[in-house]
Amino acid sequence: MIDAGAVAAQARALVPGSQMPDVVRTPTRVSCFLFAVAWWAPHRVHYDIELARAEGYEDVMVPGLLLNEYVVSALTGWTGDPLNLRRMDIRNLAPAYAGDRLLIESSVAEVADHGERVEVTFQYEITRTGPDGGERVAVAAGRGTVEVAGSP
Amino acid sequence: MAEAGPHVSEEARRRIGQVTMLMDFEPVSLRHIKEYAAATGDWNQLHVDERAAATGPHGRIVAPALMFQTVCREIIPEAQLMPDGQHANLGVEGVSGRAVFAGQEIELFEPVHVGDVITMQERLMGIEEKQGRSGALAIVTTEETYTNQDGGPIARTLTTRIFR
Repeated sequence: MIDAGAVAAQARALVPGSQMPDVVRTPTRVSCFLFAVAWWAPHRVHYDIELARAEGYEDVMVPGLLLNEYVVSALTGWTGDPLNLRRMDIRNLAPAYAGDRLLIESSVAEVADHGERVEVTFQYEITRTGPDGGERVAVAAGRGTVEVAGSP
Repeated sequence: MAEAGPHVSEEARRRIGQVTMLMDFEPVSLRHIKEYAAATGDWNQLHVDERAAATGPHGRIVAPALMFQTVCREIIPEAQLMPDGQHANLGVEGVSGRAVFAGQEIELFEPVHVGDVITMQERLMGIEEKQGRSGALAIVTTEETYTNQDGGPIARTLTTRIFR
């Protein structure tokens, strides 16, 4: 059960610059295939490793909308309800591949207390590290706004 | 492979500012919500468990926040796909090439429930043709608005795709 009052109090305690817990996802080739099916996205770069490599990619590509969903988890996890997301933008900077370790880091940009609801805007960045390690590469970045209800 | 591109037709350029698609999609099913939740790894009870969702903040199952976009996909027979699996008209009719998803702005309004019928309207906002470091490219921006069967707003998105 979600305690709306406690979530609103947590929102009011946030200040610009507050770091949120990191979220890590490691999508597999199966994740990419399943998401392509659920999205009905038959583009073979999401499930056909031979075609993906022939096109110059390291592995099958993680669908962009799946990255968006990872961001939703990162920005709303503390509220218990992903539907508290109100707005988000995402700039895709580089491909992410199956097997990558994706790190989603976020911090508070703004807090707007409207009395009966609180809006918290975050900035975030997704970076990837390949299955064999190596340098972290920025995959996507943007901002997202979460709204929670509850008077002070 | 997709044919070398990008190709932008005169008709596509003329349609900038116009509605390029208006379509109703099949009702949202619990099965589709579960498929989507399974694929994202977010097996949240608010999305997949009717009993738990009934006592949650929405009183019934709600679809994941961004699932509306996957509901609004036209199903195309395999024979009509391009060799790399892409739709011939991904993004907007008259623009072709190797497409990548470059970014998106999303505003969310009402949640999506099982049984909702979503209408999507797509408007072509711009086509920018330029020379990039790796060759010619076309940056296509579309605005999508999503409404439910009662006319209630679900979401608005601004989507940018790059065709090479």
